[in-house]
This record gives sequence, C-alpha cells and structure tokens, in this order.
Amino acid sequence: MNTDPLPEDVEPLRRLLALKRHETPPPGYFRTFSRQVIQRIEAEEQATVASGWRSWLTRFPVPTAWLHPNAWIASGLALLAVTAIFLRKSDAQPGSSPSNPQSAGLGFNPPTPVAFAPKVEERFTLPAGVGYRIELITFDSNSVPHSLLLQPVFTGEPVFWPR
Amino acid sequence: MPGLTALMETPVERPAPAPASAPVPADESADRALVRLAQSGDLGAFDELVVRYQERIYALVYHMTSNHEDANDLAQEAFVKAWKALRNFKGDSSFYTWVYRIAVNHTLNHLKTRRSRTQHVSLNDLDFNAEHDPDLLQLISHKNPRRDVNLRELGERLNEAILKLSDEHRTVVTLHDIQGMPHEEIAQILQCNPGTVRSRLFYARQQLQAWLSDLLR
Repeated sequence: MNTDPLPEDVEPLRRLLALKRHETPPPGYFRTFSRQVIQRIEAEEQATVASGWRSWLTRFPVPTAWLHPNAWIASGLALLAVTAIFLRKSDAQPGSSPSNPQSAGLGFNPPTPVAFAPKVEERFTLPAGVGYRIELITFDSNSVPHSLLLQPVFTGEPVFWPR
Repeated sequence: MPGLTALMETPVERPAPAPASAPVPADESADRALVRLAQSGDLGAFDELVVRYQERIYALVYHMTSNHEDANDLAQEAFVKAWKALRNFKGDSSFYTWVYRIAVNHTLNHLKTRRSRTQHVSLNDLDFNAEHDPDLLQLISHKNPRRDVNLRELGERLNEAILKLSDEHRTVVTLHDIQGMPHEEIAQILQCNPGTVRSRLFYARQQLQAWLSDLLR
C-alpha cells in the first residue's frame, strides 16, 4: 500500500516507528468491544427518547415540581387511598348489593315509597238513621287528592229520603 | 498490561500484530450492503461493521493518544458518532475512509481539550510477537545486552518523541509510518491535499530524527 519511495536516511526512523504496531490492547479486548459500542448506542437512544418526552411535557404550563417522580408517586398513593376508602364505605352499607344498582356503591338510599295508609279527612253522618262514612284519601295532606274511596257503612235502618 | 519479561516466561496466544501496511477493505460491496442495512436502523449490521474496523480504529486512536483508556473511550465514541451520522452518509467515499475521518477528528478534538495529559504507556506493553521483530532485535542487540531495560527505554523515548509532535503531525505519522496508509488516502481522511500530507510528514520526520538521533545511528 505504501508505494512512496523513502529516502535512505528515513528508513531507520520508519522501521523504528513501525515497532509501535506491536502495542496491542490486553488479550480478549476486542471480544467485547463491539458489544460495548452497541450498548452505548442503545443507552443514548433511550436517553434521547426520555429527553424527548421531558421536552414535550415542558411545553405545558405545569409546575416543575409536578414533573418530579415523587409527585407522580404521591399522586398514585393518594388515588389508591381514596379508592380504598370508597370501597370500604360501600361494603359497610347494609342490604346493598350489586343487584340493586340504585343503592349499591352510590352512598345514598333511594326514597322510601309513600305510605298508603288511608287518611280520614271528613266524616259525614246522615241524621235519618243511615250513615255513610266518606273517606277522602290523599297521599299528602297538602296535595290534591288522587282518588276518593266511598266505603258504605250500614249503621241501622235504611234512610228514606223525603220525596 | 503485563511486561515483556512476564510474557516471555509465560507465553500466551496473542493476536498477530497489524501488518506492515494497513489493509484497504477488499470487500467494499459487502460494506455497502451493511451500510444500507444499518442506515435503515439495523443495529446488527452496524455491529458487523464495528467488528470489521474496530482494531484499526482502536490502533489509530491509541497511536495518537498513547493511552489505552483514552483509546478505548474515543474509539467507541467514534463508532457511536458514526451510527448517529450514518443516515447522512452518501457513500461518496468508502465507509472505511469515512469512519476513519470521524475517529481522527474526534481524537483531535479530544487532544485539544485535554492538552495537559502526558501520561502514556511505553513499549513495555509490547505484545508477545515484538520480541521476534528483526528490527527490534537488531536495535537492541547492538545497544545493550540487557534487553528488558533497553526495550523499556526505547518505548519511552519513542512515545515521548511522538507525543512532542503537534496533533496534525502526529496524525500523519500515525497514518503513514505506523499504519502504512498512502498519502492520497490520508488526504481523503484529513480532507486536505496530498501535498499537505507530504509536507507535514517531512517536517514530522525531521523532528523525530532530531529527537531520536542516538537511537537511529
């Protein structure tokens, strides 16, 4: 390869310098060399990806403290704690079951049905011996009655209305 | 690294030293195929390219720095730089020349930033084959029968002289006189004229001859 003619007086120096070719690394050095190069490349590429995510996150006006790993850990623990409290509370509700979606895990009871006990509003008694009790039944004392039930009560002789 | 004496007492199997002239990769088409694969993100192909050129790149950096640890880091970093820049490699030169250029520039930058470092290894770290080199045997035998002492002194003197050269002169001496590259290829690597390479080499040799004159008589 080296085709250039050397002057006579340069030849001893060239031969002396050529001795440096005998300086070699420790035995087996090159067995791991390429592997180390590939590991460096992979490590640098991973670092590049990580820094890319970091720079993407910094585009948003997020406090720097939130980017700290401890902030993420604290957030995760807080979420776990809230979930655990919620589950414990829903388990403690009597009669709650998954089959009743209105009560299961919602933290409140559905409204109880309105009592259907009839309520006597007024009593009318006819003076001529036959009386009728008229019951006005409503759901609520303040509301308009939804229905009227007339329940005859025979107390004695029939009433003969005057003609 | 073990000294030469220890190596002589317990011979171990060592790789053969670099040939007198640095080989140009004969299979450039295989290089091109590997480069194309690596450009598409195939790390395995790039690993093969590293294996092909790791010894020459390491030797280049080592002779420019005379320090094993630096050579290790710089040679690996040069390959990492090559991987990052591979997408921009157009194939105007061979991959061999291109990766050599990256290694030379990276090492020169390192030397500029760490100028104060003077620690280096000596030829005490010569491999087992060194003792059979006729040039070395001739040099030692007529100087002093105490081979170990002379070998160590020779190595230190040689490395001191090389490290006294400027970075640019040391680079051409390394590429031409140690690694055996022709002027034209060195010019391609350094991106300068072959004439510049010749003049740098001439000046560097003059200086080395002056500093090593007692060894060269």
